[in-house]
Amino acid sequence: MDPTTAMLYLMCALAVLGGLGTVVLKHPVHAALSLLGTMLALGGAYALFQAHLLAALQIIIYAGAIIILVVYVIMLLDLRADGGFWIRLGGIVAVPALGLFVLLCLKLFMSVPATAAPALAGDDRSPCAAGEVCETSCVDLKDNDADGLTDCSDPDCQSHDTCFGTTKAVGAQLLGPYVLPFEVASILLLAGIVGAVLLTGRKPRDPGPAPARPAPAVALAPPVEVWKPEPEEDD
Amino acid sequence: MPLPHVLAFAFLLFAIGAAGVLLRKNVLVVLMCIELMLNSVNLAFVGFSRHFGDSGSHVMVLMVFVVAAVEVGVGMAIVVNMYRRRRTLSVDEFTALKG
Repeated sequence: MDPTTAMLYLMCALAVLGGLGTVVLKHPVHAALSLLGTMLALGGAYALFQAHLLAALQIIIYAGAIIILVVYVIMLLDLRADGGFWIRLGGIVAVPALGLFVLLCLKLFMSVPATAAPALAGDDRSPCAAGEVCETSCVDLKDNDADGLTDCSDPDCQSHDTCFGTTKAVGAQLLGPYVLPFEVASILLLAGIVGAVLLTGRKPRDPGPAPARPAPAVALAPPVEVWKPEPEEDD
Repeated sequence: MPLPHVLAFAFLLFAIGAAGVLLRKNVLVVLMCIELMLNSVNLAFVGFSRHFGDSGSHVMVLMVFVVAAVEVGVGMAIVVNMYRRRRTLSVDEFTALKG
């Protein structure tokens, strides 16, 4: 078993372990930290699957944005932590350690050039096996960029190892055959933004008849509206 | 890593997430378990994509990212709103739509 495959198994196992922690751990903060571990491990797995763009987006969107949103909500709801000392220490130590571990693994295993990365076992569709003259080689035969790199926007070259999973290849797919889902995603995001604003924004109260106030003799300044916290609605 | 092993890991993650949705009472944890299920689908997508050498499923994973982001945004808004009204996070208390 080559090291990349071993790391893949390790990352997937860590992801499953984090998922178990999400379900089993009692306090939501611990569950969120376990979920963060799962996201980090899955990001490492994507990177080892040569899905470079997805690995970066997984870390940025999931581990960065979504988990932070969840943790913010937990913080705002002021849920008291009831974990003991060891659970708290574990949360403080384990997740950064896992993140560092994923980064270290990527540093070690992603430094291999993409062309030399081994394909999946039993993957006979890899266009260029090592040491073999490959007649579908996009590098040799297709019209290349001036730098001699593969033309990733060419549909025939999408599966080539120098193209697979790069931003260029995925972007060519995204704005080519998959442009309709791309546009639908923008509408979905807009709907999500409007929904979140509508749900969290408080309804403006109707002001009602203002109490009659004696006008000041000398109007020095316009009256300053003092913000008062609204009473909580209980039902 | 052969494709069946990737799918086995994805299935395990999905099963764990589904179990969490069914078993946990805390609505925040339920949302997190939904995220877990979405991620397991992503893992299966990426495994298929690597196996068949097709970047198209990467686009599908991006769509799942979008759906997950929107779902968390709206879901957290609902959670905060319900917590303001009910002062609890237990899904058993959220019975406003019960017929």
